[in-house]
Amino acid sequence: MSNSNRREFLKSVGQGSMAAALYMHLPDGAWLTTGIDDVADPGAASGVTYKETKLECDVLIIGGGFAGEFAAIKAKEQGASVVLVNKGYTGKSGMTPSASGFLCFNPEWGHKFDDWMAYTNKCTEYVNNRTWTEIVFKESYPRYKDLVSYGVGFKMKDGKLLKDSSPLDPFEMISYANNARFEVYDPETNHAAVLRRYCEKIGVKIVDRVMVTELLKQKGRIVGAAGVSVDGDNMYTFVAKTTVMAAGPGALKPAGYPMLVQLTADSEAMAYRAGAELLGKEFCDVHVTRRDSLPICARAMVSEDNEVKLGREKPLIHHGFIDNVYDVDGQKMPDRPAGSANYKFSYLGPNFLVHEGKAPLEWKTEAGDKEIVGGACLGLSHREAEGIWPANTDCASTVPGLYAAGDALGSMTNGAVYSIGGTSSGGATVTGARAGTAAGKEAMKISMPVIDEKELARAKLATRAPRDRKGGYSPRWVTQHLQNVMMPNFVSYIKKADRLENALAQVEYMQAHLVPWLYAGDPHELRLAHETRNMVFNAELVLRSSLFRTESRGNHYREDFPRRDDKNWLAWTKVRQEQGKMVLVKVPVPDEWHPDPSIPYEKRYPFRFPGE
Amino acid sequence: MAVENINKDLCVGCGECYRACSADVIRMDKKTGKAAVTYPEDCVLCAWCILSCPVHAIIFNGSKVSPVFTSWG
Ligand SMILES: Cc1cc2nc3c(=O)[nH]c(=O)nc-3n(C[C@H](O)[C@H](O)[C@H](O)COP(=O)(O)OP(=O)(O)OC[C@H]3O[C@@H](n4cnc5c(N)ncnc54)[C@H](O)[C@@H]3O)c2cc1C
Ligand code: SF4
Ligand code: SF4
Repeated sequence: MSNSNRREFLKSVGQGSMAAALYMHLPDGAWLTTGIDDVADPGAASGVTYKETKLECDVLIIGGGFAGEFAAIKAKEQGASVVLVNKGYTGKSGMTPSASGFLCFNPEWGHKFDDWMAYTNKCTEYVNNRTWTEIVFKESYPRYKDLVSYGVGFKMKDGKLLKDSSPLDPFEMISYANNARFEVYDPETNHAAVLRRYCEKIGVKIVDRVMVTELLKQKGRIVGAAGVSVDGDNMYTFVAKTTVMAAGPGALKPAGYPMLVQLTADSEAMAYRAGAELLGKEFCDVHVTRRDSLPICARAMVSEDNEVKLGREKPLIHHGFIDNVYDVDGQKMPDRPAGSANYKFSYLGPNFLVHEGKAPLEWKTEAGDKEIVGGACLGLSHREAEGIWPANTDCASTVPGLYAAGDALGSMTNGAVYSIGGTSSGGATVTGARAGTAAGKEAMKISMPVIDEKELARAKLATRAPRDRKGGYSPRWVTQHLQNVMMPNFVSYIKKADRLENALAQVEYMQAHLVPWLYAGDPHELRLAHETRNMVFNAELVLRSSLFRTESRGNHYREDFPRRDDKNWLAWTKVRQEQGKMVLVKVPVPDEWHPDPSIPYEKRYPFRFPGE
Repeated sequence: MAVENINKDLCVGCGECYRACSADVIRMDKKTGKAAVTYPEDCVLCAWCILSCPVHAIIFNGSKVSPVFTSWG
């Protein structure tokens, strides 16, 4: 918050007034009912009595980022009554508040559609879903116009929109991607905060700080969800005609990309348990961060005297493409992936160097040399790739009544590599709008479901189980163990069958022997227990998908299969549940999207993998 | 620990940090009306609470000490 904003804020809250006067602004749950000395009281858990809250609506939205907020707005525009439920506080949760660049494809700004598509198809190594790539490009500008009309702040200079132009040149194409820049740090015009206010204005009912744990399914259809407050013992039932899953992607609470502490594959896990199909988990997100200042990856920066500053004030390490990185021999990693065929340019570049024994990697900055460390997005695939399999372009999942949007949707807009900055926020608004519109339309045609009490009892029992146990494993311990298994460079980034199988054996053990005995001593730990359960599932997804794809492509590298295999692997990995087992299926990319086989391999794929 | 403490003299009890924390580290203490660092072990150093506090009341320590890893727990 800038100083002037701080002053404005203080004015608005009445500087110097008694704290008591401000109590009104907080929900009941904000307050510790028992005082801070009584949190996580072991043994006090079993036999908890829950308050019950039941809400009915036409459309239920799970998650309050770009995707959930857009879905809520567009469903409301269809005349539907809408409840948006969020584990965090809408406007301040998920990845959305920190996004800074919004993809805007706009022919009026000189953008050429064919160039953008050709670039993206090549950059994503031909496993992008071109239907979605096209939709995201073409609908990004209308969503930008929406954002402006709702009051979202975009940076201006001399009355002109400030755009970050990154050349689309890795493959010698002369074209530019335009990212319209958000006013991220202005609390008045931050996109997430503005969208919240707009949702409230048009009558979306927002339920903050309630974690959705289970979808309700009856007669083959999703009819709402069950959840629990993270602040107190309050069980929630949501009955809805249609449901949009927008609870973000799946990660393993890595250090360095701290927003991911909340994004624990809840979307994928809940949808999978309810019968939906997933995809895209073998492609890993390769963000790195700085050892001495982990949050720099999330735009904040800790200075030597322990002051927290905004990362933008200093050079920022944010993406896999990093400038001025040197290995232990003093060799410089090439700055940009411009027109070269050296593998060290690829997104996985730093991971290869470390695997070759070239650590530590130093990032040379004006403030001195800083060591970079990997794994900042452990368990995550790059954005607009992994997630719930879309059954159609309305963002429907394969389970009736359930839609998905944003990072929760496996649109594969970005295939095997994140192609253009800003596609995440662009994609999340586009798919959010599509899902909300379709879910709203469908809801207006059907009647309110009557909840089967047996199904509700099942969901509630599953929700409260870790809190009802007298003892068990702490979710923090299981999470730590999971991170230890998955974090090493030689497991999640530089992969090989024996190491993946080894990790999978551990994760399978956790599934069978630790997850069923997760223990929660208070509502905060109940949230952690459910997150841990979903993260163990996410790790299994990553490992099985990585074993399944017996080739290397983009952000998926197998030492034992170091080349792209176009004959067998111009395909997606679909994951689904059959008789309680995780089953993986290869779904071919349509023939007409294949690269021209007459183009030599080295030209088709300018990035070389080690071992090729 | 990352977020260490909250300066009770400065805190105006606005709840912005409580809302901003994705890790649910900060709660409001009914007895004092002020923010309280309640689950410090879950802090991930994202700094959103610090950036959203209007009065610089949040005391930060840039280092995070990992918990001891045991065979069960
Ligand atoms: C530091 C940072 C910088 C970024 N920079 C950019 C950028 O410059 N350009 C760009 O395009 N993208 C950027 N991104 C990515 C982009 O922000 C995300 O891809 C996008 O915001 C995703 O939106 P979403 O609505 O799908 O998910 P999110 O915004 O992550 O929202 C998920 C929501 O689901 C809620 N939730 C999770 N689990 C549950 C549950 N069980 N029950 C209820 N609610 C739940 C969360 O609280 C949250 O509100 C950045 C991300 C970060 C973290
Ligand atoms: S630094 Fe981030 S995780 Fe830690 S208390 Fe503040 S908001 Fe929460
Ligand atoms: S944001 Fe600052 S003033 Fe507001 S409750 Fe938190 S510590 Fe207190």
